[in-house]
Amino acid sequence: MTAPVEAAVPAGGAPPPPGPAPAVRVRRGGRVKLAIGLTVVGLYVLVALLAPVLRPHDPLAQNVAAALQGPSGAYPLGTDELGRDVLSRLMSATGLDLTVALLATVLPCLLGTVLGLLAGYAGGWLDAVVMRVSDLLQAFPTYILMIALVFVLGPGVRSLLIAFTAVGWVVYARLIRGEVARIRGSEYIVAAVTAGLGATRIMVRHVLPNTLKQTLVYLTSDVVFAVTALAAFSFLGFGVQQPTPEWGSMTAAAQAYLTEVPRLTVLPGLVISVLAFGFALLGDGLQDRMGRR
Amino acid sequence: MPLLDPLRSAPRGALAAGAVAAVLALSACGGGQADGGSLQPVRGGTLNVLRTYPFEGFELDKESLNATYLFSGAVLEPLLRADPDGRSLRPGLASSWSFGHGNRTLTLKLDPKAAFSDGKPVTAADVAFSIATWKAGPNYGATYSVIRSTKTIDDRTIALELSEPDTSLPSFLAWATAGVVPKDFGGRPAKQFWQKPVGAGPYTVSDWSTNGKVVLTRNTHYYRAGLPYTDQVVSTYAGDQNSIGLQLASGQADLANEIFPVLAATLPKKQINSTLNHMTSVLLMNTKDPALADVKVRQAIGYAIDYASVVGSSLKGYGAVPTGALPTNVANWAPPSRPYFSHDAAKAKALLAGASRRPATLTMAYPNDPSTSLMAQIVQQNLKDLGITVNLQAADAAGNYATVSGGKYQLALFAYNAISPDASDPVVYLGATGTMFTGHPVGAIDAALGDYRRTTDAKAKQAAITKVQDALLEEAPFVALGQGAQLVAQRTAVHGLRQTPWGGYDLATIWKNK
Repeated sequence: MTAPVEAAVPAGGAPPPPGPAPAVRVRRGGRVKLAIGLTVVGLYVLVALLAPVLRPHDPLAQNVAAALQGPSGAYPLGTDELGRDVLSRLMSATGLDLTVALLATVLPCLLGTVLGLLAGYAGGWLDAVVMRVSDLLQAFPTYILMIALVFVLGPGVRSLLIAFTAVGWVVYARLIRGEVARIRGSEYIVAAVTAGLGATRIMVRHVLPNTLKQTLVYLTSDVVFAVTALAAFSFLGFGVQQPTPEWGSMTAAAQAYLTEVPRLTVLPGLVISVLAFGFALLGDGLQDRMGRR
Repeated sequence: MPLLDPLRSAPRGALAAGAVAAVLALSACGGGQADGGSLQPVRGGTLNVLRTYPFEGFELDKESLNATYLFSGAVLEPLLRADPDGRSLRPGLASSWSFGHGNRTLTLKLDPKAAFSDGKPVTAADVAFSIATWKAGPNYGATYSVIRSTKTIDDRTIALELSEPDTSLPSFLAWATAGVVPKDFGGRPAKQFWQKPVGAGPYTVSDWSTNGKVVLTRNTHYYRAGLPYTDQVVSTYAGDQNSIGLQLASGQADLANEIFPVLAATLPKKQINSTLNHMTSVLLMNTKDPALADVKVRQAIGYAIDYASVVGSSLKGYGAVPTGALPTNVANWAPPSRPYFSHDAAKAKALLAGASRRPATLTMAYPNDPSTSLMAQIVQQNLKDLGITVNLQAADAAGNYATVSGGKYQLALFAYNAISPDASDPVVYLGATGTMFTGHPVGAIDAALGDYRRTTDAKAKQAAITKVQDALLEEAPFVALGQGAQLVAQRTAVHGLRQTPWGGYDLATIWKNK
């Protein structure tokens, strides 16, 4: 039962201000978020691609005599503890951080999608095994489990990607499995089975495309986690090793100079925050737009 | 044997000559910086000390860190004590000592007031039992193997019969790992005793944990009149350098031991108590690895290092370019007979060109503290200029020590120091560790040590040290990168702190204004 529109206006009160209906506002908000998010992420991608051409100095070139200098014409964002150009290092780190963050999101997404699809479509013992393993993994605090894995495997990008994949697939598997379970009973799937199509073809051609919407939205928000987690792992010494420019390891190296030269910590932190903000807006925007269709 | 704190790989910086003079002058007039308060020692109160490394416990043979030596030595006092000048010994529980029979007998007289914290006097029988305990230790036992037997002259006098002349032995009786314990551990099982030991030092143990607090309380039976000044010492483990700075600023901590030069650079100069240059940072080269087996490769690396950059960036002015491979500023130290390694890129390339095998890529292990991280990156850059790519492998201090002591490395950054005022002290360590885990025992060391121990003549001792320095330069199993100071940050209200060059100090004489 719905109340008459008039009842929503308090007696003697002013009528609601004119404007678009809530759904329309959400769609417009979604477009704005999407646009800002895409712009921010796009700028980072551009910097990553053009860094070898645009950066003013070799990011690894040491000049101990010029260590810890403030911003100047030669060094627009100053120098670090070994006299390296901070701007060049920030720019050079963009490609590595973006690549690793995207891989750290895509790899678990791929694994989770395959496992979730198989578990949801096949059901039975396979479903039980995949879900119990995911229960087991979810019972552990994510960071602790990942740190333990990287500790065993040794520091470095390869270990980080393995850890991200080993822990991160669970959410994707659950998302896909839920969607598959919903779709499996649909008339078009029943029709496909009746028509004698193979299970693989049904899963890939008919089930999977209809499950990806939620996954895509989640993936964009997961990149935010990957960006910050990568920085955190490098900060702790488990990620990218010195002297390779990487935002997290730059922050870690700079913490010894936190009171003396806070800029060295703040700048990479800011760069990480803005990228995370961009991906978050992108995810929100996608969710707003896709969620209304 | 270990004369160093092996887990420590972060070298400390050194002191400019003027600063040395200033510190010594302040120390001489009561120790500590004037803060407008009284310079008459104040008794009572609690001294809060931050330590940057874990405390390993009181079991003497298992101690290896400066952080442990300091607090263990304050409970289980040794027979002799090192003078802060790093060059001489002071009486401890033994008020006097003398050699006889051609330096084959060392006779020690105990202080008549020396007593354990339970009130029982320290006797010759306790010392004999303590020596037997040290000798039985798998880590430090070999150092005391020269003591063939002990002979009790009377309750307060003991003679140590030596298997060969050893004039260095008194220095080794000043090690914190040579604490005096009651005979038969006072009737308690050893394990129980080490958990809560009874010693004759200025403090007794109230509580301790490895990564938590160490709480020491005044020993009311302590033999040095009027000491200790402070009723209680509470040591807290604080690994983060920023946290140390904040705790000092807020007054939560009075002292912070073994801080890194990068932190020292951010604190007011008057809060930094630094030693003479001593702690020696080294680049170890695993000679068992085929890539580093050729001495020309190792020497090339020695000449490729930009020592001024290493010292300038990582030691922040608290260190100096090395003049030899052995830690400086201890008695009888002497340089090599020819100049030590210096930055000479052309010579490095020529040596490498003449090597039988030229390594293209090497891996370097290092502890990931702020100072050594910088050192690692500079060495990496220097070797890149030489044509060798170095992959860095960071670990925490304990992990790096495990890698180094296990010989599982190609290049590694490390640091070592003496723990007694004698140049032979670190040489003993080099010998005992197969020349510091490089797999290259330097033959000249044993012979030189023998010469050193047999004589009492300072020039002859220095000549022996020069032989060791020359051999280390010639065979280059490792390269000294810098020689730095030990740094303690202290609040200005704290007085009486006088460090030895290796960072030891007497907790009993420290006091603070109320």
